Amino acid sequence: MSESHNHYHSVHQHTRNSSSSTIRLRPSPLITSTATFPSSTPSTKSSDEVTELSLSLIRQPVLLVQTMLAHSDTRSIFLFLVLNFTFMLVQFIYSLLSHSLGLLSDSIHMLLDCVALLVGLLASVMAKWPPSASFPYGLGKVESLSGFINGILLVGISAGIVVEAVERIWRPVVIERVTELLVVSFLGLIVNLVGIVAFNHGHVGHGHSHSHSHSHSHSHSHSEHSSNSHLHESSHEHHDSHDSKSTDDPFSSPSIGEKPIIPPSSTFSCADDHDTEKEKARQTHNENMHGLFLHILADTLGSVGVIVSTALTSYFGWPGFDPLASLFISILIFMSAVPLVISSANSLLLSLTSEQEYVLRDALNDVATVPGVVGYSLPRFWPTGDGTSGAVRGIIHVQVSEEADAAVVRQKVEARICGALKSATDLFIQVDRASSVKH
Amino acid sequence: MKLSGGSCIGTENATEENEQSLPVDSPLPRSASPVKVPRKPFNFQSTVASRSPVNKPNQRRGHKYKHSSVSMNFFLEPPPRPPPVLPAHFPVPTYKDAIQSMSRDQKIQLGWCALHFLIGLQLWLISYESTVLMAISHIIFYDAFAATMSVLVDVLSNFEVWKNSSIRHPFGLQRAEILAGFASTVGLLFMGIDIGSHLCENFMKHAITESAPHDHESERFYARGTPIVIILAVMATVVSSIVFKNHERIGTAVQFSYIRKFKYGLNNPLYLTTVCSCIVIISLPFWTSEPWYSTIDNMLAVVIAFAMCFVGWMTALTLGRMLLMGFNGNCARMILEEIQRDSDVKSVEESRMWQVHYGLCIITIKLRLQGSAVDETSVRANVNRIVGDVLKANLGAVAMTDSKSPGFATSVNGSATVNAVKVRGRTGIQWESTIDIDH
Repeated sequence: MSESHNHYHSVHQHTRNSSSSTIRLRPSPLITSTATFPSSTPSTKSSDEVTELSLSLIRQPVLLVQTMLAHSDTRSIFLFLVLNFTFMLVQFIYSLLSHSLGLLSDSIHMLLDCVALLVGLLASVMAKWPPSASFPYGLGKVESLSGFINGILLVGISAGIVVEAVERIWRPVVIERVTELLVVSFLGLIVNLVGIVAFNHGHVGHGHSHSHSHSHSHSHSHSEHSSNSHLHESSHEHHDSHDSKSTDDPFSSPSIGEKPIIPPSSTFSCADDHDTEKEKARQTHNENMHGLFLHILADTLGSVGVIVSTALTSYFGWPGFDPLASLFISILIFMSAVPLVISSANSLLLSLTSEQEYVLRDALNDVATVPGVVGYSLPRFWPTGDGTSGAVRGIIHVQVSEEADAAVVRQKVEARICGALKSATDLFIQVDRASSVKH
Repeated sequence: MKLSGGSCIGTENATEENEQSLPVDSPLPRSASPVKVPRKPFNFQSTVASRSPVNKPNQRRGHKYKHSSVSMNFFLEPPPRPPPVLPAHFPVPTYKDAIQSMSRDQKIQLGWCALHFLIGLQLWLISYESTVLMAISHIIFYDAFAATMSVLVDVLSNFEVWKNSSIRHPFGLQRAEILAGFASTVGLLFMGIDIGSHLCENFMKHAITESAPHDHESERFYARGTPIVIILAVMATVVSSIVFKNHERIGTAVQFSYIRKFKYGLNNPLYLTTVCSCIVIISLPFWTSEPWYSTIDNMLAVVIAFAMCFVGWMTALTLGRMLLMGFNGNCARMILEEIQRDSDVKSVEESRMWQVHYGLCIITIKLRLQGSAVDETSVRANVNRIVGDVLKANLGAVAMTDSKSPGFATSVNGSATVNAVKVRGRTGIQWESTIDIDH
């Protein structure tokens, strides 16, 4: 355990060191478009910026690969994708040469796997893009979205397998070319095992932070350290983008570094004690990697299932083992995919955890007692994109009395909220005179 | 509690008759609660518990000089402030709550959705070898899901937690609708790809084995009352799209500006392909001979797979952008450009614009004004006007459930913070602006 721990840290260090250099390498079309913002004539035609982005991805493949190799998580996905694709290609060519239909459909199945991996890879890369006009908070949520997609697909796939298995129990299919099938599934198993090792490594690194959470003070700093690698990088990016262009870029995020660093308040760590396992998992997971891991796991189970059921069939002579194995595996896949779907959906719904709610209510009570504040309305606070740090962004409208100084009140309100919430970033506070607000 | 107790408080006030004197030795505080009233043996009027101790000078403790002498009146009493409005908390409805709240109509609608599913299932069961029928059955599943969703949204929108903001769910639960739509769209996309890959596989199998294994085509298409099921499927599609507008709920998120002119469901490629291909399949025996069935089937299936992928991809992009907290980049730039034209505005420091769900955009802007004498209220009103104008001019740029007709009118409703562009008298899209003025 400690070995993997150390190793993870070294990888992590590497990521942080290399992050500043990779940011300059990366093509960032939106930065340039926003930097030239005052002169650009806005076209009334709604051009799709997502397509714009993907086009730029295709244009600079070398830079893209460099970016992928620079980060540990994208590197493991990328290398496994290459491995998987090579294996698929070999299998495909062999199936064409040997006129094997079973191998053909297996290689097409692997192509779909490669697509899923590609989605995960893109999500992992896109999550590191800076905020833009189209995505004012960056694309941090893209990893949750990719995890959600993978989870949904796994649920769908397991349902499909169940249907197929039931059909095969009804009308048994005689399997031909048994040795060929065995060899291929054995090779597939090896490839997928490599994938599991590669992904589980990153996975353990993430899981590590909450497996140690009984030692409280340690776990807190540690989990911040490990799972926030993302946040560190993004703050780097902001500084970079600030340097590279004029300061009046309205799309850039506030420089987090300028704010006084607020130590985790006692209220927050108190609330930490009664958080549920589910919420903890929600905070410390990278759903993208989780989804990909489950996907590969499902494939591995499939290979194992084929090998075991073929062996049993040839030993006992009953063809029903294959559908039974499929049923069993699909249930396993389903059960492992459901938590992923739930956790990523929670992250995408922008709901707070109960402890965040508790702290925030406290903070809002505090806001109401700031001298000069008459009331507040429309408090909306939501968790940040990565979902790992428990950071909160928000907006609030504050009504002040006639004689109060709006600037001072604004500052005090911000200080109260930032003081109570461990990491409230991106606060927007509208200060209105109470008399000017219509009710 | 004894009333007969001799040592009553000697109150000099005229309120003695009303005051149910409490014994001095009572451990209870003076402002006793009315809870004790029933325990009294006498039928007195209830005590005036709320009477402040100010009226009884001899009861005063400490330095309450307010009423005692003019000379000590240094401090002005602060104006009474309304009690702070605690942010609401709404319970999330359970299944039981939801079922109980359903009206009879909604139950009938849900029943129809189940029927729709069953028709799809039946079509799928008889579509052993026809790829087209299989593809259509998949589309019908998608339709039925969309119809079910629109009923469920109807049911759930009766609950407070769905629409209203609370601390736990800052944007209500309306994003759940987007999430469900996204999940089903991912399913559609996946099914489209799956059918496409099946077609490729079949094609290549033909290429490898160089033989046409089908030789009982007519049985394949017309076994077990296939035409009846196909007619049922068409009916289900039409009824659902008229009654539930289920295509609009998911489909108009897709902004096909060039198809939007058409009416009666023709604006949705899926609807069109379903109905057309059903008609083609049914009419096969009337205009062609059996050897052509397989070819026509495959060609139609290619078209349907393309339609599924196209609609799925476009919808997934639109919904995915909302889930990733995105906005149309051009709109954002236009709004900012307009704001910077305002002579009172010195610079726009930061801006975040994003769409939460079909009905709500969040606009947050941090401004620096020219001087301190500028009227903030008018700046805010101006910003809101600009946002409204830009959104009105680019209705296609934001996803709405009802955006077919261009006959809209802008109106800013009563509240200073929630604004809406109205489409045909109904609220098309709302936005909330938070304008943080940096002093």
